[in-house]
Amino acid sequence: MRGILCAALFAFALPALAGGAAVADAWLRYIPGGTPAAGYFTLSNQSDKSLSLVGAECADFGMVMMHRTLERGGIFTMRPVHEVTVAPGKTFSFAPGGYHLMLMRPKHPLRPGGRLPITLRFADGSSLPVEFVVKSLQAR
Amino acid sequence: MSRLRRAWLVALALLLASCGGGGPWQLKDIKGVVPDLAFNLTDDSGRRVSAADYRGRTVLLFFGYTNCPDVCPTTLVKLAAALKDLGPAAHGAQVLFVTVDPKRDTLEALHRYARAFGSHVTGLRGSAAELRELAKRYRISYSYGTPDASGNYDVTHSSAVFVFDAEGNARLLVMPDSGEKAIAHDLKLLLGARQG
Ligand SMILES: [Cu+2]
Repeated sequence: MRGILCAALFAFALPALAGGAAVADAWLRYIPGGTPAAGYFTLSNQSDKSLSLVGAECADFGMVMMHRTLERGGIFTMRPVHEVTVAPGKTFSFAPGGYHLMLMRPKHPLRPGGRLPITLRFADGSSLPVEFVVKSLQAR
Repeated sequence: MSRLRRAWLVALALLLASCGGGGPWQLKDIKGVVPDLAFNLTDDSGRRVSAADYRGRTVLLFFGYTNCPDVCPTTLVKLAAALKDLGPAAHGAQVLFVTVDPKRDTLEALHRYARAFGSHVTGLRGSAAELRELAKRYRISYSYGTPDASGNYDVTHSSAVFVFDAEGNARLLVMPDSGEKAIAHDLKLLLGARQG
């Protein structure tokens, strides 16, 4: 209920809702103890213009970044990503081992099974409130 | 130096690829290629520990850090799932999570993180010198990025999990693309051999 309310408030507070952008399977893996959480989702562009995701915001974390995990020769690194562009009619997945929302400095413990409102921001100034499901560590 | 380490890893991968195929293992067989288990570190309850403390158990040695929300949990969850498949035999296995970021990973943070993945996971922490020595022994690469305005920085690290038998001999290598089934299959063989 609180999540829905927050999402509604977010929607009013923001200049414009992103048209044609849809998100499915939004979830985050929460690790207890104040370490960063990773957010995953599938973004689809149902409009006839390209869609550029440029960031995300969440009131429950100190900072949210877009990251990509890269592997080269068995060495892993996370790199900040500033923009993800989805062509018209295409989808793009943030998934374990690839792209993720890096949710840093949780302001309070999260409850697995709960919901967390996160707002995605796009290059054209529009945004999209999304409800992420908080999953336990065992989620994959 | 890191280029040298990467070259070593590539060489190791090539060597393993060329001599793979034989044996009952689904994971990469590293017997005789990687040094046996040896370290001096502090466990997440504050105890000084060495390889001798884990003799008699199958050890899965993994290098990571707690500010890693994507790859590290994915690997630890995969290992946990494989161990769960083994049932009671899993008690003979121990996952050792060595932090490559001892500056940020306090023993307390490490303890919370390790416990979150189950009782079979123990966090280990060393001084910069102890970590360097261990990394050199296993040709593990790690490096730190430039801190941002709020002091956060990226850590680059190797992803492989080294598996040692009950006598501390290096036996298998779990790679990022190794499946849970393959891990469970090989651990079962390794744990069975110990009892037989
Ligand atoms: Cu990240």
